[in-house]
Amino acid sequence: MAFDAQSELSDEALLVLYGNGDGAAARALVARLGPVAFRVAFRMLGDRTEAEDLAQEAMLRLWKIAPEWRTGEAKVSTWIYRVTTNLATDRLRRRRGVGLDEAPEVADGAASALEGLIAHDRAAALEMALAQLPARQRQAVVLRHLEGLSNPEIAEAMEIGVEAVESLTARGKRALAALLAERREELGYGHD
Amino acid sequence: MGMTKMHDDNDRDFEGLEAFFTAARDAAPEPEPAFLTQMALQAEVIATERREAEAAALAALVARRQTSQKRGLVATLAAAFGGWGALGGMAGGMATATVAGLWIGLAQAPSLMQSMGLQSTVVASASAEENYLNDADILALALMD
Repeated sequence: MAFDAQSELSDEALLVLYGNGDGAAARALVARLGPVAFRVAFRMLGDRTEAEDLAQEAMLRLWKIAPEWRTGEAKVSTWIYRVTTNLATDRLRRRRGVGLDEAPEVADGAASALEGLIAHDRAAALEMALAQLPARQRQAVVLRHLEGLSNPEIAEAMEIGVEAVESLTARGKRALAALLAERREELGYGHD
Repeated sequence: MGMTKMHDDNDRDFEGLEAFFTAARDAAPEPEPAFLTQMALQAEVIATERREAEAAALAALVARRQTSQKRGLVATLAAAFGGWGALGGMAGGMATATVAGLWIGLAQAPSLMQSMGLQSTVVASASAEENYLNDADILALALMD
C-alpha cells in the first residue's frame, strides 16, 4: 500500500502501521513530520546542520517509540513539537549555559519602531532576534507565531500550563520587539 | 488581573511584530530532499533492527520451551519410576550391574571359549610349536654329530 503526505490516514494511524512493520507508512510520516521537526529545530537553533541533526534525533525517537505508542493519548505532531523543542532547549542550555528564564526585560512600546523593513530583512532580523531569546521563550514564540499552534497545544507540547505559555509568549514578544528595534538601527533604518 | 493587562499591553504594543512573523513564516526553512530520504532510511533501519531483535527473542523463547519440555519428559519418567531419588538409585544400580556383568563375562571367558572349541585350538597350536622346536634341536644335534 502506497502512502504520501496527502494520505487521509492520521499521523497516529501511520505510526501504528509503521510499528507493525509498514515501511511506506514511515515514508509518509517523514513527508509530514520531517519538515516540521527540521523547521522548528532550525528556528530554535538557527543552524541548518544542527537542525538536521536534531530533527533526525527527534524522528529517531519517534521510530523507536512507535511499537509502544498509546493511541488516543497525544497527537503525534504535538509529540514531535515537544521532543524537538526540548532537544533544542537542551542544546541551547549547553551552548549558553544560562538559565531558561533570564529574559531581558524590555520597555513597553518598543515595537512601534519596527515598521518599514522589507520582508527578507524582516525574516532575517527576526531569526537573529529569536536566537537571542531565552530558550523557553523562543520555544513558545516559535510554536505560537511561526508554527501556528494554539496556546493549549503549546502547553501540551511544553508540558506547562496555558497561563505559563501566555507569560512566556508575552515576555518573548517584548524582548523581540526591543531586539528588532536595535536591529533596525543597525540596518540603517532611522526613525521617521 | 495583572496578567490580562500585560497581554492587552502586548497586543497593542507588539502589533508591528506580526509583519516579522509573517515574513518569517513565508521564508520557512525547508529540509533538503536528501535529508528526508535519509530520515526514511533511518526508519527502515530501526524497523529492521526491531524485527531482528524480535526474531532473536522468539528463537530464544522457543529454545527455552524446548528445553523445558525435555526436562518435563524426563521428570515425567522419573515420577513414573518413583521420583528422582529412585531414578538415581536405578542409575546407580544399572552401573553396578554393568560392572558386575563385565566381570562375570571376563571370568567366564575361558570356559566359554573352551565350550566353543577355541581354547583347544590354541593349546594344540602351542603343543605343535613345542614339538617343532624339539625336532629342530634334535636335527641340529645330529648335524653336529
